[in-house]
Amino acid sequence: MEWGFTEDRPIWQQLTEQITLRILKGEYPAGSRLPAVRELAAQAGVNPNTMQRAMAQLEQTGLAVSSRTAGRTVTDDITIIQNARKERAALAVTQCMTTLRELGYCRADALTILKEVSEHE
Amino acid sequence: MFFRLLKYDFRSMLKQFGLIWPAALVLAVVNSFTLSGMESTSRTGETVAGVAMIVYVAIMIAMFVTAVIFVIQRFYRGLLGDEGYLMHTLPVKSWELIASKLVCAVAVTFVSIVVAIVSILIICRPFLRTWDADFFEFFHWLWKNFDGNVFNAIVILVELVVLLLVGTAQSYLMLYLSMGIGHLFHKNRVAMSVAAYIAIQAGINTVFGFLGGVFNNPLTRMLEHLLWEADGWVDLHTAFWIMIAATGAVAAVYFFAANYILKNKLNLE
Amino acid sequence: MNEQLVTCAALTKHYGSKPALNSVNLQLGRGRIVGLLGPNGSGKTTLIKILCGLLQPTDGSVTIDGQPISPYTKSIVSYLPDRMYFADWMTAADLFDLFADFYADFDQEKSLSMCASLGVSPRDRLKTMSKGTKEKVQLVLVMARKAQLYLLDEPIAGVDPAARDFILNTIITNYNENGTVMISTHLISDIEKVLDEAIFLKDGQVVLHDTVDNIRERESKSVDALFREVFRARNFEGGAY
Repeated sequence: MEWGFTEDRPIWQQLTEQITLRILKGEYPAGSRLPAVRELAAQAGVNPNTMQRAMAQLEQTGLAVSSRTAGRTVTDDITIIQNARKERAALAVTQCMTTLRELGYCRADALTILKEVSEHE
Repeated sequence: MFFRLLKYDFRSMLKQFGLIWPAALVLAVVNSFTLSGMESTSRTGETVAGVAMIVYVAIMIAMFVTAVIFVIQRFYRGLLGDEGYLMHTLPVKSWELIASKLVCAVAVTFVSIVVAIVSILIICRPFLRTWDADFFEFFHWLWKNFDGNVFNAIVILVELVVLLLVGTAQSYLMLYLSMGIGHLFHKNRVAMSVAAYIAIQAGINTVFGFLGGVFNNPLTRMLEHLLWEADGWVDLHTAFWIMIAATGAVAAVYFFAANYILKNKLNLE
Repeated sequence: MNEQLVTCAALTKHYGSKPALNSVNLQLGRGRIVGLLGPNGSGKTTLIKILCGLLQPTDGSVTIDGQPISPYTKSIVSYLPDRMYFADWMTAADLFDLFADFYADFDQEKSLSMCASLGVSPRDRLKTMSKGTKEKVQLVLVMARKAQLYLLDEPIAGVDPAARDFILNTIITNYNENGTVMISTHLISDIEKVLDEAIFLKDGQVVLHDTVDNIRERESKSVDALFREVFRARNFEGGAY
């Protein structure tokens, strides 16, 4: 997965989102060690302080934990990750439904279309 | 820090003169052979000797021209030009920068003069064959003529060398100060340096002329007295040290002025 | 250790009668990467040269780590100039020796490993090196120091995108964490991601100094976009152009 940034928001927020996505996709599995801030910063081509701030945010959400011995790891609490995944899925569905509603579909029609399209996939 | 600066200035000196000095000496040796060979042999011998002599003279001229250019360039380019970006961001004091350039410049001049003298001795050696034989006689002569006081003669020689070195340093510091003054201007820095040089020279002449007028130049009179009516060695030594001190004092003034400019007025644009 | 690393108060510099810096007030903390941003002729190089002691201010004061510009401040400042400055006969290794001699914070081992990763052979004479390679050597000299203040004057101007990424990468992976890096440039989109703070310099004056996060949050646009706005306005105002 490549790092990419849009212009309209602070970079640390975008970093937090992208690392979260990597954890949810299993690129950084539960309980595994996260790369050092400097290394990640170099990968993404961003300022180490910015990456540090993104990491702090990840710890805030509980997805990452830092310990003195193991450094910073992805949480081994599966429920946290599952909740985050669900949240993310909810967000995706909400966005999708908003778009469909804007196109003029009612809720029932929208669900039908979703079902149809996903069966063809 | 000063000695580290010297180390790098001497390295760049060796880069410039590492070839020309040995070349001058080698050519002197060649000349001593071709010249002594000339007496006995043909036209070709003469031609070879002529060419060797021309090359030698050319090298001598090149050596001194290079020395003068080196002295100016090392200061102008090294401290006021692009290399100044490096030198002035080193954690050293500005006086150390000037002193290092100065010591190196005086050393270049001194060694060049020594090389010139030695090379001339080498060339003349075939014609001074008696020199070898009369080597001890020469010292005997020296001993007698200096009233048995070789020690004083050697001290005078040392004093002469010191005076030469201080005098060289003084004239180089005047160059440095001129370039420093030229640097104070925003445009035409080179032209302004030349103008400053002429102005300093004129100023010095005026000051000394003025002093001479007012005080009937007691210094000169004392020196004349000490040198030509020398009442023994002490007077001679005193005369030398007065000259050394006077030259040194002028040199010190130039040094402080140049340092003031580099320290407070540096503008590498 | 002084809390503020750099403090400029009413700093002014004139070249003849032309002002290059006009009463600049500026404070820089530690451990930051700061972009000094402005078009050509806005005073970026002048400010950097004053900080490293190559120019004397006409007015105002400047301190680094609480000290006026002096051999001490020079010992903690690592400067990448906008031009080549070294003698051609030297090799890169000679220069590393020189830096090791004069700067206590120069890490010779690091310089050699940086050379290896940059593909520079330190035994080569500078004379035989290409312009790009010389620039790499200069970058190594500057970044192999554990300085408190790195002053990089236009490090990415005129290099290709690959080299630019490499330079930025070298900077973010090698700078001393307690040190502050100040990068001057007019190519903002290229370096925005690596900056903590941005300083906009316009006609010798600081018109904006804030963190990149704040700027993006407040303006909902990138620093680059804001920069274009701020400096385009000048063309509209200045009818004389």
